[in-house]
Amino acid sequence: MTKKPSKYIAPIGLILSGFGLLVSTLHGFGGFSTQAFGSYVITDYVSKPQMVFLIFVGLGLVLSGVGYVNQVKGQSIQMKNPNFILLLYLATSLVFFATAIFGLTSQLKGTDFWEGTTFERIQSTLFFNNLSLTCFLALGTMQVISSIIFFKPKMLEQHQLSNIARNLTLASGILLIIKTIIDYPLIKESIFIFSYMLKIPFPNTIIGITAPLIYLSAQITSSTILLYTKNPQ
Amino acid sequence: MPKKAVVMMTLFLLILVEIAIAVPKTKPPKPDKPRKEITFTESASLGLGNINLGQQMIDAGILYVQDAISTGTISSGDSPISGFEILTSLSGALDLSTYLGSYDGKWIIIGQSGGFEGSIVGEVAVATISGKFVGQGTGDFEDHKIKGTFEGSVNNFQIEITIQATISYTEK
Repeated sequence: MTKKPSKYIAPIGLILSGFGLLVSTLHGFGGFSTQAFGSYVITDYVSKPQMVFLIFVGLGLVLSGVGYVNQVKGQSIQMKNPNFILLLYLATSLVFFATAIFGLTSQLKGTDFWEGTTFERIQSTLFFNNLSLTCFLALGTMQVISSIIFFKPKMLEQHQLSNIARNLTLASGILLIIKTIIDYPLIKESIFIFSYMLKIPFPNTIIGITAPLIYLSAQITSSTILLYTKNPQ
Repeated sequence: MPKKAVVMMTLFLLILVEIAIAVPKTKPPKPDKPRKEITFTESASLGLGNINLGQQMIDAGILYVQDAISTGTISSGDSPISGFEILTSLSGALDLSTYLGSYDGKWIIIGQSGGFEGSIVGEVAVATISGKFVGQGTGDFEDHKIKGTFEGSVNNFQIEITIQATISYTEK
């Protein structure tokens, strides 16, 4: 008698990571600020809730990877090694865990609960900044690769939402990579000044919120496919 | 008054006078040890990826930057600060119609067993920066003072500056 794999692990993980990223962004992760919609402002606000939700993103990715492999195992004739997805998700989750742990344990400059600016905090802040960018780059890369191999198993490929999920996954990956590029120091500031000159909204703010929203949509669609697909017997 | 008492009084007064003469009124000033000076030219680069421009706001055509931070290295020459790491924390304003601005802030340079820290003030004109700085030593550079000027430019998201500085110190 074989144990029936749970249908719920991967969908819960996907949705957890989607909501985790969105809520963390709304709390200011990645430099997002609602204030920037009304005026030309850049903030580098960092807070504890951001870090907590980053841990949820990491946990969600671990669950997604484990659940996915359990669900498609034995059915993946078209997919030579489903463990690759697991490794991809685990590697990405590590970046999120590292960023959250570093953010919670290091003293960073000019934030709401890490007060003051000392030189000891400068290097931590710069390192945290680079870790944040790595999070978006890793997640974006993971999504682009996922859009190619995640839906390979026949049971997922045949689902009617498969194409939508694949496109959303790819779109979120591309947006997250674009966000990483345009948020790079000095590139971000150049875009900031140009957007002011051209009297257009600051693109980084728009992509900053659009990318997590598309990512969440992709996760919801993918989890729907995983939920409403016949389990391998 | 008995003769004996007069003699005693006279002796006592003589002792007082002796003491007054023996104690010098003021100590002679110690001669100052001459301060030595080292003047040198160095270059430093502050690169992309090691810059965080912090909080920014554009209001009425003026870009305000608060707590922009950056790190870099001083090139390996033969000055006392060659190879040191440099960190800056600056705030300033830039007029976006003329690209002229000014800034001030703090800086630190760190070596293996000491360094310098101080303040900085300067100007920005299009893609060039200039300014002056003063600071004092820490660690092995305790009692050292540094002052100087610098100028530089921004090329391909890399800030290159040339520093002209003088370190003064008292030889032990």
